[in-house]
Amino acid sequence: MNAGLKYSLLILPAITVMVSCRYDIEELPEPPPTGQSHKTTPYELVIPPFFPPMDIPADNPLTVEGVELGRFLFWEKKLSGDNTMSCGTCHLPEHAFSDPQQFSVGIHGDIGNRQAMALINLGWSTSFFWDGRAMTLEDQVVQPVINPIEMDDSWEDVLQELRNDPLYPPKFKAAFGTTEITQQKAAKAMASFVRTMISAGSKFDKQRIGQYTFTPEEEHGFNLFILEGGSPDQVPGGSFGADCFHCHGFGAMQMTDYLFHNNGLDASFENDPGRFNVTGNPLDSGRFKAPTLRNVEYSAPYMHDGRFATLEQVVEHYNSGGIPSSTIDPFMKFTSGGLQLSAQSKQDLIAFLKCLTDNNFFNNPDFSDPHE
Amino acid sequence: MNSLPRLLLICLCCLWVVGCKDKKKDEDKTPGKTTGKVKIVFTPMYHDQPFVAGAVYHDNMGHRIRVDNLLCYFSLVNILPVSGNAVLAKDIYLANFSMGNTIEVDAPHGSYDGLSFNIGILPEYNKNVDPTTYPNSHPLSVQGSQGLFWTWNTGYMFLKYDGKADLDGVEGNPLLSPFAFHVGDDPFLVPLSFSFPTLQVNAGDEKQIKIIIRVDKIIDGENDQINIETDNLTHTGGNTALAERVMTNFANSISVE
Repeated sequence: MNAGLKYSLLILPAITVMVSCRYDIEELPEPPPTGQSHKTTPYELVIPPFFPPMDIPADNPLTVEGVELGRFLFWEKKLSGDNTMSCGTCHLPEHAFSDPQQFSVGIHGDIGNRQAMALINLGWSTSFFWDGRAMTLEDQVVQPVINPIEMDDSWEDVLQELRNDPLYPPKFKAAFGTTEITQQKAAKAMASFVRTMISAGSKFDKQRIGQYTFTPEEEHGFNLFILEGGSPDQVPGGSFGADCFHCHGFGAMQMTDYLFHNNGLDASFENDPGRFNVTGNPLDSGRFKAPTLRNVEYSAPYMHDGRFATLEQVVEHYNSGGIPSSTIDPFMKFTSGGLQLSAQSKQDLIAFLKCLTDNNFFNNPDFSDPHE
Repeated sequence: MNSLPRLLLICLCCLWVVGCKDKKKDEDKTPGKTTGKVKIVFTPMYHDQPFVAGAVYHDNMGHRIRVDNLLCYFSLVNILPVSGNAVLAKDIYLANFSMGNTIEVDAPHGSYDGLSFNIGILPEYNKNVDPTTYPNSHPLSVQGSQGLFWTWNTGYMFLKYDGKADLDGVEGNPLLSPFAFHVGDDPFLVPLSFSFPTLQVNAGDEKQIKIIIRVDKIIDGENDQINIETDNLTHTGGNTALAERVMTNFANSISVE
């Protein structure tokens, strides 16, 4: 065998190996992209009893560093056009991260037509804003910044201000492995922070795990909450209840069904068509997201337009049966005659609603303004 | 030295064989080589036209009605071969007829002539089950149930059919009279089975089974006309008679092509 043949025999199989295994080589996992290899600390999210799992986007895992950055951004006034407002300006902890004003006032003194929603357990929510126009928290948190009647800033300006602030480049570096500050990273961080805002320490939570016993009034209120309204003579299945559970069910302990309802506030919806503005579906006219009732004692005023100042007014609205319209929810079945709850029943229902208050949530130092 | 190239050659050949062994095994596992795809398509109709949620129709009694919600659970959806074991297409499926509903299943090649499923949820999954144990995307989770989860002790609605009506039946009138048929609870589980002309499924085929739901027949039943002027509300409990009528009409409205 001459030397040329020897080398041919040596090289040929080597090429064959390389060619035949090309497919396998391509299947090898790619190395992590630059910037992803830095160390972050996983945030240990504790899912409370009877809560479902939280769906966290795969591209935005919860990290201690990300949550901390999000908290700073949530309370950062540089996110507004004149550096006077942060998210926390309209979402006050002592009001269940809502606004006690009917309509929040923007940096130019403008007011909108919707009440600032309470920020509670949004990690389990499937849509955001009263009309559900944002599908993810990452999408939701960026919108008030550029809303001209709210914070009226541009993200370009916000990012520049953050880059010029010595506080933020290291915090972005810690959270994302790079000092590069982008809208996407800011949104991810704020969404992460909001996902940690969990309320699960109410009397109701404790009752479910056997650590609290309802008073007779609260117990009666709870039963009203979960029973069908009306008398059995008047309405099939009627049990003299308050019919709350249909839209504010507690199967996942969130006191909402995550859906959109017309709860009989108005006969027509020219002023605010609600969900219709998102879907264009006439059936969605006058429908708004059913909010959680957690901490409802402190999240006044109520309804999408904040028209009711007190829980008594809210209960009276449902007791009246509401105003019929072509899209009123079928669960609002007492537009004629109302629920006819007694004064005592209404008080007891409110007593139960107050069992949804979680004082530790308001006072949780992890959610407070870190700039102070 | 003369044996060195030969040795290297043998080693490389061995590496080639060993290195590529897993790939060959993976190819053997590739699904679809002995199966065909069967699509089970739910097709709601109203008066022989495609049903549209939110459209205004007339019932047989002259009422103008608009169905806002038509949702139901189907469980243990099986396609049935001429011989052999049933092929499970879906253990639980939530159909929302405001949108399209199709179940796809990889079926072993063979002949099929039947379909079976339940309307509703099997008792062991219906009551006294914590829905939070499911992933949020699961149809039995609170989020995934699209409002059909009642409470832990009453289970799920099996059928949600509601909307508005104009009882005078006058064009242009607002539809203000609500009707709501919300049927659940274990006794309302309805097993159904259908046969159809033999469907041959070969490897790589894509075949379709169409489930027709004549939505108009839920009120205008073949054997039971429901008058929504008087019978317009049931949440099952307290009016199980109407719930039973609605569920019977619904079951009778279903056929398979």
